[in-house]
Amino acid sequence: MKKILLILFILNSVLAEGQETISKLRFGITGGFGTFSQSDLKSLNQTVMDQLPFDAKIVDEFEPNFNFGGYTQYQLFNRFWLGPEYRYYYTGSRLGQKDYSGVYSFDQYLHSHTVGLKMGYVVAEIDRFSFQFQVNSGVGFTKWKMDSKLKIGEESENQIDNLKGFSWYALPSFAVNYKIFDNLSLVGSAGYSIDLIKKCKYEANSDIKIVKNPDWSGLRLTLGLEYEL
Amino acid sequence: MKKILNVVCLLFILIFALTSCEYSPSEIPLTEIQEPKEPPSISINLTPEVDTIKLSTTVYVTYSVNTGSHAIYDLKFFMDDVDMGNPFTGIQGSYSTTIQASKLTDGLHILKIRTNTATNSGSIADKVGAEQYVYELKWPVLVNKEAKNQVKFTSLQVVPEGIKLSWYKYDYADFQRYTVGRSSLILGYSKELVNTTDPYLTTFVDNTYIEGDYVTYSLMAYMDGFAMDSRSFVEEIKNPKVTVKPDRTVDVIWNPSKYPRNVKSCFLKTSVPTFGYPEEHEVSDLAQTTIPFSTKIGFGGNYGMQLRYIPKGYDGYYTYDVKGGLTNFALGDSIPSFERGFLIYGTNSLLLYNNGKFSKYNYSTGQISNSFSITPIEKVYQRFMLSSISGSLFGYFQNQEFFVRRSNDWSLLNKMDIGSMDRFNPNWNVISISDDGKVAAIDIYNNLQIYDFKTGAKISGPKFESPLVPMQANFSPDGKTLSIRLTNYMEQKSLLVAYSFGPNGLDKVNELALSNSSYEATFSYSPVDGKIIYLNYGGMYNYSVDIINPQTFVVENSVKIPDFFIPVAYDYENSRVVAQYQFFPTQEYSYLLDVKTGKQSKIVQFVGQEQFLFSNGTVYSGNGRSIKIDDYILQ
Repeated sequence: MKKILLILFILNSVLAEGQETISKLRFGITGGFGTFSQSDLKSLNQTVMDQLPFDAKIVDEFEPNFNFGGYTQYQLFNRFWLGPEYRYYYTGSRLGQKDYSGVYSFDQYLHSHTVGLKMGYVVAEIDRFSFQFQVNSGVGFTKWKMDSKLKIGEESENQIDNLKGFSWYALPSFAVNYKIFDNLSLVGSAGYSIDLIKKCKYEANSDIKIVKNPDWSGLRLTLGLEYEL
Repeated sequence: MKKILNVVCLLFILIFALTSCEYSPSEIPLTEIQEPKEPPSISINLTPEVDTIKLSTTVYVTYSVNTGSHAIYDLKFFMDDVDMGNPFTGIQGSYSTTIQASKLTDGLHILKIRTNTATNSGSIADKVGAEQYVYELKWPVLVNKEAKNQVKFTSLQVVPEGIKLSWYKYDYADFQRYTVGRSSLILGYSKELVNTTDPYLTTFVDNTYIEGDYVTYSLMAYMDGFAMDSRSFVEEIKNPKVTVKPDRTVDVIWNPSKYPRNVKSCFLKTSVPTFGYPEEHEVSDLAQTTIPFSTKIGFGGNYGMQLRYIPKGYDGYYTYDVKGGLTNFALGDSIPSFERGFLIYGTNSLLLYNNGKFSKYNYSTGQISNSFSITPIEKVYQRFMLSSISGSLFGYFQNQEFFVRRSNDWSLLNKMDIGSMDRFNPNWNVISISDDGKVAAIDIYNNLQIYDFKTGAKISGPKFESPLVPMQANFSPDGKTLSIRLTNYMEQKSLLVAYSFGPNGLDKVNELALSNSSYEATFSYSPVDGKIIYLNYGGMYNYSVDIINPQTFVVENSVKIPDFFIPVAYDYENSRVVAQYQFFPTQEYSYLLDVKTGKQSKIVQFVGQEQFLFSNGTVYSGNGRSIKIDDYILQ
């Protein structure tokens, strides 16, 4: 019921303000900070540790990390903006052990390029501030590399597995613009990204069924500059 | 517009640069783990447990190792650094392999056993098996494929404690055990002395041995197969000392055993000639070393005093064979022993044959002449060694011929094939030689043949027809007369017929009828007075001595010999005869009869079956003793 009321509110706002629309185009670049669920891959780390004949420790495990992106939006209506957004995320994990005899590490490198459609609705404008509700949804293309290394003395072994995948995501967020100059604004947003569909496969052999997939779901905090034409 | 494009381009460049960012993993912190230094000691057990594996054949080598909590990663056997392949894995910590000597050259090789174990340091390398303790054991392997053939006794030594046996050390890997046994002629005295699995036990002192025992020590070495050796051994018993006392009893003194702990008693027993009386004593007091024997010994045969040490625990007969401990003794003065002997009258000498040699013994001086060797017929009873009446000539068979030699210088009178030889066996019953070289022989077909060895001529003699059978022919001392004893087997009577040698052959000159068949009777001419001494056998050990005049054939005198006494020696000078009791149980005396007076005297017992020669009151026995008969008259 709440969702229905929210949709009705947005549509009403769009339709009510549409008469005053002055078409504009704006570009933005943002940098952000995000957390990543990666629950499957954390589970994978635990499995690896369980299978090792020696004790190993988690050194990193998909720690919150920076992300970058850019977008352009066209003002369809007076308060409604729509346009594509690209973002780049990366994270990773490491577990391992190191002693006098050698070192073992199991690293997971993940980065994702997401391309989505970013919709923004200006809820309110107060002085130089404007407040927006935004929804971004699209496709994320993930590259996933697992790199295990064992080095004992002068002898070393290394195994690398490369995988790739995609996911459908949805990122609802709330943004605040502060107009620094007439055309240039400082933009900040906070939201939560949800991976809806996740699929992954080995690059070398796509027949292998992957049961643990990257999950980029997590909090998204961004700060950027937006230029408006 | 251009300004906008610049901004857009700048943005894209910025985004592109930023997307090259990637996760950078943190350093893995170093875990403090003590690096292992010296490997801990482990328990190792090698089978066979020898310092050097000595191989004669195939061996199964087992290596057992206890590494405690350190896991064994790998274990390998190398022979001369060549991997021998995967070992057999037995129970925990036990590994084995087979070394085949046949695949190795004789000589020294090196077996290396390498064991890799976990260090248990807990490090990554330890956990993945890349960090290991390596234990290497090198084992010399000596290959000698001929070793099995060398398993023998190396020495048998008499030591104060007994008999020390030493044998070859077979410490090769396939060794299983030694057994050393002793087999003895003494019933129940055989025993196993050693049964050991210690290859280094190669000596043993048999301290249960006693002197005189013929033993065979046998060594068995069991390995992949077996090897054996045996040695016979005997330590002589020292001969006892026997003293013949004037009363003809003996005293015996002996040495105690070297091994008194093994001896139950000393057993002494006389061995006696035929008709002799044995005596035995068992002395349990080992400190006692002398004992008198009360039995009086006789003359004419050798006695023996046998000492035996009886082992403890032995309860069988004391008749087992022993080495040594035997002392021979006999009554009388020593002279050369002889198988056949003849008196050589007028020279104080005896012509003696013994062991292939003739010799002359002068009983007055005790001198023995140089000997003369012959090759007689092997069988003693076929030799027909004999002498002429005076002893000046003697004859014997050799190579199917009859030889007649002079006894004074051994010179050959002649040798002749007198016939009647069945291959190498002479078929003669009796032969006699005259002092002038004539030979008369009666073969088994009762044919009398006469030869003159001086001339080599055969002399035609009388022919006898059934039922007369010639039994004996003797020449008179001058050789001119030949007397023949005939038996009429139909009438069971005998005839003594004399023939003289005339120009036309033999002429019958005398004849004496005798009352019995006299198969056992014998006669001879006296070399002293030429009379015929006829030992007349009346049957059932019943003899008489008849003195027959050679010219008249009249029996001049006749003396009856007591029953069961057999005449064995005749003294032609003194006309006395010795008669030996030859019946069982025997008597402890013999008889001396004076043929002229008929006087009978009991004398020392004549024992044995040796030949006796009797001359001038002295009796010479083939056993190498002589006595003056008058010294041994009992009553």
